[in-house]
Amino acid sequence: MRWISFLILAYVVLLIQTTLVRLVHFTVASAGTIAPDLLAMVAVFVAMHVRSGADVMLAAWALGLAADLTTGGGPNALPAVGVMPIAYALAAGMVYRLREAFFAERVSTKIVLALLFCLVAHGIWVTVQSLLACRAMTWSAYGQMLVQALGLSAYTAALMAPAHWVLTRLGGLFVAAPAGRARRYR
Amino acid sequence: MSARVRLTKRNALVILMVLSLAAAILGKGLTARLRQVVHVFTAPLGDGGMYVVTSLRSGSGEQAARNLSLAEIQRLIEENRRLREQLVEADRRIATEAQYRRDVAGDVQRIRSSFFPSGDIACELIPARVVAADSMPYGQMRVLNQGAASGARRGAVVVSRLLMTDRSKEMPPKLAVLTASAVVGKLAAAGAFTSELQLVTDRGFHMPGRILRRIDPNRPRRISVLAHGAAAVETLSERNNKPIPVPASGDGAGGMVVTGVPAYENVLPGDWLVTTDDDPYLRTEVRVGTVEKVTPDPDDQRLVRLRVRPFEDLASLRRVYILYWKPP
Repeated sequence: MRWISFLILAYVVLLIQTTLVRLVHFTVASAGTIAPDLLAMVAVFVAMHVRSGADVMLAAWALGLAADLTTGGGPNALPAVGVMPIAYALAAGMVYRLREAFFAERVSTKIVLALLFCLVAHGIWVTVQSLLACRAMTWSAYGQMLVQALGLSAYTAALMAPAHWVLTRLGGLFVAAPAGRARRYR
Repeated sequence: MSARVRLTKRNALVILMVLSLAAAILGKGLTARLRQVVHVFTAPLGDGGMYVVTSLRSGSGEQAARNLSLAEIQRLIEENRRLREQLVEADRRIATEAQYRRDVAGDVQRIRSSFFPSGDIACELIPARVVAADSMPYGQMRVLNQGAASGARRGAVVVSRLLMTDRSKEMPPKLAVLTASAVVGKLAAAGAFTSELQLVTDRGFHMPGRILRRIDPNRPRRISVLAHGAAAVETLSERNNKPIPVPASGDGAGGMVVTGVPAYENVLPGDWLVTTDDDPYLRTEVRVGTVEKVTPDPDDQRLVRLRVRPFEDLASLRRVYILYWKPP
């Protein structure tokens, strides 16, 4: 991993996530706001292409921390920091283990892995934050947030293919030694 | 023999995971400080992005409108004119009532000051801009570019100013704008240079409010009142139209929910949710939203549940004012 380049990319993606993503979000009355998770897309890309498992989990941890520090609201006005980095790192570790079982070039692979990543990471985050805010939380609100996480996962997975195309073109900047069949970044 | 541990990436990952766990357990105190540090990096560059977002969101609107016929357009213009007249009348009535309350509050203040000499209660509007939003959609928070250095405090109410004017009319000289305010949220945290606004639609937003029922001469409504120690059914009028105190909270889906409203009060869509004047951070009535839907409470048929739509379009929220009302 080229860490400086990766951190710059993470910062740019975080800026887009906290501003321009509001252009493509939509609201479902029964679930709430549904928006894609761009940081998760970067984490999945890293998990699919970086050779070292420790690098993958460290990168995912950093992206999770960025997401955690810019996420507020819900039953806890300020949710506890620390859950998302763990959830991202575990989900990235899972994708890293699973990637050998898939054909990485296929669009369906990217979609399935992004869906799995988001379901695991956001499922853990929603559940732990609900437990930490158990006094203010109700079962219906927890269910609503899980539905929201499901919507977010599906939305992110749907956008994973074009995001992967963009990241492939930028990948050479932050992935030093790609895994697999020595993939070349154009 | 000394045990030396090499700092490998694997060890670093374990340490970071343990630190994350500790941070999650330590809770809010650490969270607020860390978030303020991140805002210092995201706020300056986020401003441009939020400008694009709010411009496009307010320009495009949430839903596409269908084409209208000429007759429908004329009917809507006429209806708008009538509604505008009603609104002006309602605003006049509210202004009269607000003046009366201010006079009473002034009297109370004078009586208080005669017993406990103290300074005036200062109210200040701190202009701020929304420079970033949440990265995840679970909450409805915004980052403002004003913090404690400008006087912003946790718990302070944030309002928007709505421009109420008609472009076709010539404005009188020396009159800048005619404005009205609508509450958009409260400050959940205030750092040195940025603060976090919790929107009224956030799941964790709770506030005491009042329902103001609008009197429409074309559609008189019947309400139950207590007269001479007995229940009676009367037509809603200026005399018996008392504000209904209610608890309101965000629903996380772009609206607010008000529960526990007695059905006999006959609240209807179009009524207003306003703030109470006994809030230490906002001692006046400011509009919050309009009742959009009234449904029976599934747990108790004597009560109804209201869905309230905020007055302000929160998707395109850009310029706001932090209301700093010095607590007593």
